[in-house]
Amino acid sequence: MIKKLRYGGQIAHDNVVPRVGSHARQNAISNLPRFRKGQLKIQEMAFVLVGIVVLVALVLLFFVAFQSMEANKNAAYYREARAITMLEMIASLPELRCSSSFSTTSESVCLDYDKVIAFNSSEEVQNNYDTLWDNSWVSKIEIEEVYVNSSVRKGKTYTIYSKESEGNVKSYATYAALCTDEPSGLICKIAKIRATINMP
Amino acid sequence: MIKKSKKGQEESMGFVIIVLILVIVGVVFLGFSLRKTGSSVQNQQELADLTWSVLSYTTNCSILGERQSIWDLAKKCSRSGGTCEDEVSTCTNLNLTIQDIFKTLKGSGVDIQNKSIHAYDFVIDMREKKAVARQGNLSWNYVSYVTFIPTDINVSARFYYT
Repeated sequence: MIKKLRYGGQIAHDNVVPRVGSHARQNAISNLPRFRKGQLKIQEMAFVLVGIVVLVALVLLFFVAFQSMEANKNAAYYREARAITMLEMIASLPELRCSSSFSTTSESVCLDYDKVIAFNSSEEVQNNYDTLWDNSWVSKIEIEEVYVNSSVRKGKTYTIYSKESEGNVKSYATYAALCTDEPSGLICKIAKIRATINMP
Repeated sequence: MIKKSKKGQEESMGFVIIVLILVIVGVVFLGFSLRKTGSSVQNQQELADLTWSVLSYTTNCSILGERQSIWDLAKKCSRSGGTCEDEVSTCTNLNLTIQDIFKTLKGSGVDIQNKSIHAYDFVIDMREKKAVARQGNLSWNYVSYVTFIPTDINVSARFYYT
């Protein structure tokens, strides 16, 4: 069977251009006219260019994947920072924080036990702040006693606000001193403020 | 012959250039991926809040009928020492209380940013005296907080998580 191959627009027969790799083929190619050689070179260059484009595309793909990963990480970081600010804001609300007469260490987050009890025992009080929490995507705020004294290790949990959450939620927490003013002085326990936030 | 070797040289130069480009891209990529994002906001804040709530905690030690906080005990211990109404020294009371607090917190599964803590090292440094609460294998990753207040008392907290 005679196979036809094209070289520079001309038809060459199998018996003229032998199989790939053989010396005879190399000789046949080197004996081709100059413009055919040029075409081969162009083909070679085209392959190299395609290779480079594929390589660059791969690098770009990596870069885009990496950038999107970074963007997600940054988004999580800022969401977290916002949640922390929210926790600090909750703890510093005049409706919850200790009054200035409480002589705790100035840097500590101090919550007034009596105010916390007032929130916990009245849904009406909780609902007064509905708009504030709704606008901040907060669905639940709890204060949990984590250390009361050496005999009572874990104490109660108080609810400051609670609403049915929709979709994805994430909880953030920080520590605070839960203090009450008693005749024997200021009594502070260690508590945790936990805010559950609706995620976008 | 000369033509052939020149062509070979050109090809190897091209190969070297491509390898160089790949190495540069790789280094840039590695540089980006190894770049540290810094410690978490929450870790720092949560730890600071925990440290200060511990310092505000009211102990069982009463002096002149008034219950003392950990911070008060640290101040008294660093100055004159003295004893509480139950005849236990302020320094001993301070040590026992912080040890009990952290033992309890760890026992109840204290977490810092949802990371379970397996060891802690809490030190109230009063220059000549120290109150220490330390437990567990102090290795692996940790988060730490040091108070910067203009007194003789420095407090450092370090929590290890896996």
